[in-house]
Amino acid sequence: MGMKSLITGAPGARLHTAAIPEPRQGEVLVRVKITAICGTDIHIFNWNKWAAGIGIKPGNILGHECVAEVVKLGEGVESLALGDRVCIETHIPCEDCSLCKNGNMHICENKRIFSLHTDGCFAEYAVVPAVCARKVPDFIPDDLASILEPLGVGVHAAQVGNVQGKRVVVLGAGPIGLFSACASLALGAHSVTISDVKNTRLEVASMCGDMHIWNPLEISASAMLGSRSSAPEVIIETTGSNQAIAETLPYLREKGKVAMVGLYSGDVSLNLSRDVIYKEATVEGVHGRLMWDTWDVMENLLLEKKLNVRPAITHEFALEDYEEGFRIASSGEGTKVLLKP
Amino acid sequence: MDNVMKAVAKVRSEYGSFEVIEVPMAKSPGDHEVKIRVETVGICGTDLSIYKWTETVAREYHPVFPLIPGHEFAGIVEEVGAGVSHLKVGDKVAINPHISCGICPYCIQNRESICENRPILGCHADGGLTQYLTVRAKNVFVLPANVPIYLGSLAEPLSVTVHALERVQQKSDKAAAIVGVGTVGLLQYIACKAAGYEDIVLFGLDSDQERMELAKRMGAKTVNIEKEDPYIAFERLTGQPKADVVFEVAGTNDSITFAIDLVKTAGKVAMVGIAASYTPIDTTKVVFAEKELIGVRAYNLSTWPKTMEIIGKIVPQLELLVTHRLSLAETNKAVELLLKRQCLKVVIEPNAESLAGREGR
Repeated sequence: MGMKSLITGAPGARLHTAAIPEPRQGEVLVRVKITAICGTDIHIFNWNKWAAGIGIKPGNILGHECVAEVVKLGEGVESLALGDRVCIETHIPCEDCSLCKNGNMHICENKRIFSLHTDGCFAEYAVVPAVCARKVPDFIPDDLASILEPLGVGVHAAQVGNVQGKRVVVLGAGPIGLFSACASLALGAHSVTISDVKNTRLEVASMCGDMHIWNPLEISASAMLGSRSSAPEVIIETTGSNQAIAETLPYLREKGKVAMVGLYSGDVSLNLSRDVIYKEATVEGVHGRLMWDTWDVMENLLLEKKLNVRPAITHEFALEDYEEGFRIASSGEGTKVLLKP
Repeated sequence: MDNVMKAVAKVRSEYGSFEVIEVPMAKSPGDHEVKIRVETVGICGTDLSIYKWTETVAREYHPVFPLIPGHEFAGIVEEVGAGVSHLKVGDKVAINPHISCGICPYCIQNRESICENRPILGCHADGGLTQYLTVRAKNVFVLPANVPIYLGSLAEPLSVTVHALERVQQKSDKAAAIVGVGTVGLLQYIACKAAGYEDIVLFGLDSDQERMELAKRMGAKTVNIEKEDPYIAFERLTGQPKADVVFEVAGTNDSITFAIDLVKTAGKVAMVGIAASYTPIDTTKVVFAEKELIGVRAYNLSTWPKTMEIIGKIVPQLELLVTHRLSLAETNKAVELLLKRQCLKVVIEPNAESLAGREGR
């Protein structure tokens, strides 16, 4: 029996009929319902320097943000049952290192990444390590469930920012920025300002909640953040643009926090004395989600209807229409683009 | 004459311009103030910046000349104003030179280190390079009896290192690294040891050789990063590949990059050294390993009682740090020694009657 799958073309991607894989010990086979396109998929689609350098095998199946149903259990799997609806936690921990044993499985030093070091889930079926299959509560519909993985990054960033009661500036209104802003509102931020150079993205943001939108091409950082009543206590950086953080950091308040989520293609140049040391500010990296604290918090916020992220889902296509989906996702015309196998 | 005293002042904005001048005697203390007879003043990098009159100093301090520098100082209480209960005449004391405002949002949270309106004695206002000074009693702390007064001026830089620990220390920490082996690096070592770190490794350069020898005499483990691979050395010395916490005290772009690399996944870097204007940072390392870069500035008021607690237990190490004891008239000589890196800590003793037999070690 074969299955539809989308494999890397290095560059590009193509549809391919693959054999349905068999779950090994500690793994499960899932039938994929929806998979969302992530920035990582776009990097691999474009086959940029980063993608070419991380050891993705030829013909690897793309995709990692999905909702799926467990259809077969590998040997020794007791944590899941047939029919369970699950999401995939992308970071596959070794479960053995000191980080894994101290609540930091998400940054396990031996971790593998689902869909980079394994086949992914732009396919009818996928094999997932049981430790990474997260059961989805019934109240969350399939389309929202398919974006819980990136939503978790935003929740994690807002948790690291300790945003309650604070003025928060989120740099970038792509999916991660948008989710960070939504999570900041949900976790009780005093105010949230979100920036992007694309107004289409800011429009989506304004539909997700009561946040201030800021296009730095139209309003300068000093006009937006320069007064005492507007200077942020927390900056969540999701753009990977040196200019974005360099222009904003001078306005961070004393004892402020920068949650760094975005990845830069080169070094970022920061005035550490003026902006971090003299202010006793903190710059902290954020990567992925805590297993499973972030997922628990996210599900609670969704249950309480505090996380309004549905407007982020701007497009849905059949897997066969992946080219249009990738075009829309990478141009910034859409925010989250879903593909159904 | 009783109505004048000697001081060293920056008399104009040009390079150098440190001169011994006569100024009116410090006033009698008002309510909640004390008058101090200054017995020891440490000369530090900031004083050198004032000497050179760097752009930052000109922008930050904008003083009225003549300005009396000196923010690391200690002395004897000469006179006590009304409403002061914790000090008496004759007390041996160290002074916190940050005159925090007490009313800004940060002071109210006991975060005086980032007070919004905080003149620093010796920087924005007249400091310790003088014979007498009248100061707010709240900023004056009694030194333990066993601390020789000339070492009292080390309480200020020691407080910086104690505060760095307040900012980053976690109970689970075992191995600490200190990048930079100047006075602050060595004091950071002493403070880390007092704080209970099992393994502490100091990293320096060829040019720090003498300081690293001194660190070894204090019991420190040291690594010359120009001579050996610092990661292999760290693992050999501590049994773990990366540091639980790194204290970056050198403030150069290279040392900051190294500090970020050296800290473990999810570890903290205390940013103590004042960095150059812009530092390139490979943020992927910060993001993927969830590292934290934590700014450390000066200290809070509540840091100082802890410093007083520690300083009484580390007198032998502090004695090793002070290489020169000079008179007020020799302040320019002290600056020269520092500029030429021919010393470690130099202290000025403004009221020393005679300097015979006073050479430090």
